[in-house]
Amino acid sequence: MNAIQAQGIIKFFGSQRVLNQVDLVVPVGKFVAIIGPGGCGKSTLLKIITRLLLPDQGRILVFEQDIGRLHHARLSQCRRRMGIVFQQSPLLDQRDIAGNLRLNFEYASVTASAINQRIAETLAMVNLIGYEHKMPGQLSGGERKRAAIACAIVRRPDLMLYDEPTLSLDPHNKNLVVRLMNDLHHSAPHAYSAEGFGKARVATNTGQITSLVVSHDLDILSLADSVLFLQDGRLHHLGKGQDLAPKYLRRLFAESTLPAGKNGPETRKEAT
Amino acid sequence: MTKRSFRFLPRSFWYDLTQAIWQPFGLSLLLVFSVCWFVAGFLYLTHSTLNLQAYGLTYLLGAYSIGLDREMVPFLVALTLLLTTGISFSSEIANMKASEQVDLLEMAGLDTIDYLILPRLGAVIILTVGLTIIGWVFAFVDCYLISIQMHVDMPGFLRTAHEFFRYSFVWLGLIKAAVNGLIIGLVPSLIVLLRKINNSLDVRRAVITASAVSFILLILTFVFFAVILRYPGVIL
Repeated sequence: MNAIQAQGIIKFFGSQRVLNQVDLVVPVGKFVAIIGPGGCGKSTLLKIITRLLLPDQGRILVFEQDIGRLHHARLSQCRRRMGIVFQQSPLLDQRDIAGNLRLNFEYASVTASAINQRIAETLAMVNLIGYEHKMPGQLSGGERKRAAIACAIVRRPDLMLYDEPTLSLDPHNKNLVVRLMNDLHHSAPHAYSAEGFGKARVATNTGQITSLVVSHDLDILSLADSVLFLQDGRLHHLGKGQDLAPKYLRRLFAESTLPAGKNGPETRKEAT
Repeated sequence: MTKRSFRFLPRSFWYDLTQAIWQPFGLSLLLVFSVCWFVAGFLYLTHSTLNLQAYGLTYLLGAYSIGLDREMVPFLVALTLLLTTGISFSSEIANMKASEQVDLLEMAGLDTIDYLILPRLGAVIILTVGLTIIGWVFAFVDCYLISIQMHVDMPGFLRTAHEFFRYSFVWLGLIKAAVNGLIIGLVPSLIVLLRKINNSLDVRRAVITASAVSFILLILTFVFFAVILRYPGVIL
């Protein structure tokens, strides 16, 4: 079973073709990373997967549902299985951290105590215990990022999407976020039997969380089962994150283009 | 995981509505604008009284005060609320769009209309209706003070005021205020929500468009009420 299956995605911004016949398959339980030069459409692709943007052509299947054709209620249901960490780590400024997490349960028919319990558990997962009543403006960059991750995981999604999760973080906070992403990805699906949250969720085939990340962070890329390079609106498969030589990736980031005339990416083995 | 109930409004609707009333239009701002309206009405009526005195027609001040209540108060309230609450709501939503907060809401499964617009709309309608009533009280106090200060023929003033007054002014005035509130609460926010906003320049453009469109719609509403509907029993 595939968590995401994108077929022939085309997206224009004005006359500029940002995505050109993009095909993407992310099997359940895999960690896939997308890299590419700035403005090549990586964030756009994530927003299309969540239907925050609509493609001009092509279709996206998320857990085998065509997300472009879902009506409002089904779309909300489908989005409940996804968690996205946006690039700017948005949090509602007028609400405290617990209030931001509570947004996910505005329509839920669960008791307030069950919601509070879930919020406390989630904040503990991202190491933000005691931050319930802090306002977003009081948080540092790293804390804000972790709070944004908490917002994304509070509903315990099957699919995690990250848009540059370590951008502009100091090394300490970056390590925290990378470790958190790794832990989340490899965590077993929770038996969501907490009071008021009903029956346990239907587990995915592999019982793992699927992660799709847009990042240029080598530590994150090393976690990836598959690294894809988005260039000229198309995705190119580079290989497994651990196999790719850091030197090759750095050169790729610097030149923002795939080296011509090579059979494939340079691996760690070749580099040594 | 969580079953969606048939809850029509988000849990936080009433909290957001009260916040929307008090945050942008706090008590201090309300007092400042009250004083402004009071002074504006006082000046308008003073000049009118001076003109009427020149012809010995001060008893017509009652008719002036009714006109002030009927047309100027709802207009001043609508303009004030558009310039404060309406534009502040639209710029808040525009900034939320630029900073991906609206995307966050959508991913949380929230309907942005339910969550962002409905509480603000409710708040603005309550404010326009409430402030129109307060404005009427101020206009009446203005007239009373002027009639004392300028030695106006009080029985004549009350007689003409009574002759020109219709009860329909009250309920039509309240309907007009509610429609103004609908425009101020809905139009700027909706325009901003539907526009593509990525940066501060987009925010500025969106807010300018939203305020201009809303202002034009307010004027058209006044024209509609004054000319097309015509108050029953009154020749304009």
